[in-house]
Amino acid sequence: MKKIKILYITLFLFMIFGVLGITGSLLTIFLGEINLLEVYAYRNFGILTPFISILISIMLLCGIFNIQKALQGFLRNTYFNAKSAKHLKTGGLILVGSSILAILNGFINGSFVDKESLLLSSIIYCLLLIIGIAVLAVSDIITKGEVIEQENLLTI
Amino acid sequence: MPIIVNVDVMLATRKMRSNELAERIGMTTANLSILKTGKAKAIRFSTLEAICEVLECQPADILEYVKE
Repeated sequence: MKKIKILYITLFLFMIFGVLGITGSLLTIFLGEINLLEVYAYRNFGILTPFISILISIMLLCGIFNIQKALQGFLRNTYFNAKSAKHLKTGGLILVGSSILAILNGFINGSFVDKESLLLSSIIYCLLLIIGIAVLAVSDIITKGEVIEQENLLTI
Repeated sequence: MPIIVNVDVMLATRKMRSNELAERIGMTTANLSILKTGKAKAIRFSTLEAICEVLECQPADILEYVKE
């Protein structure tokens, strides 16, 4: 339980930093002195480039939010509960989706960044994809575990 | 469920109450109720043994198979 609490708090802090980061990016875009047309003129997505990155970040935060809800379910109820399984499945799917979009975005805009940064970001996004798939697998385990627990509870 | 638990019949035969049986076999009345109402998914041999010992009967006296 202690480890789940630590993970819950860590994800909560990560989400706060994420929200602050996204807010900062949006403020920089809309209130800063950056001319989007000049900076992103030659990018494949044009002035939409920063917004695509922000969208992927928001998707990632939504995925982490769902995982956090699942952890909350573990802390309040038993480990094997349907609600947590559902949140884990949703979170996993969002993580997988956002990582795939991030990988694609990286390769499409890859010519505008240096090779080392592209390689590092690709590794991070692949790791995120693996984590998303792992979360989906854990969701399946929790669902099956719930069935076994129910049968065990009804074994007199 | 095809398996029916006829504990009520034996309780009536032995003139025993449900809560007395539950107390003697070390089970809660809630669990005994789950058993009697057919909501149980499985029964342990140790539980069956305890019930048969208290009610002085055979497993066939309290378990019945009815084809669905």
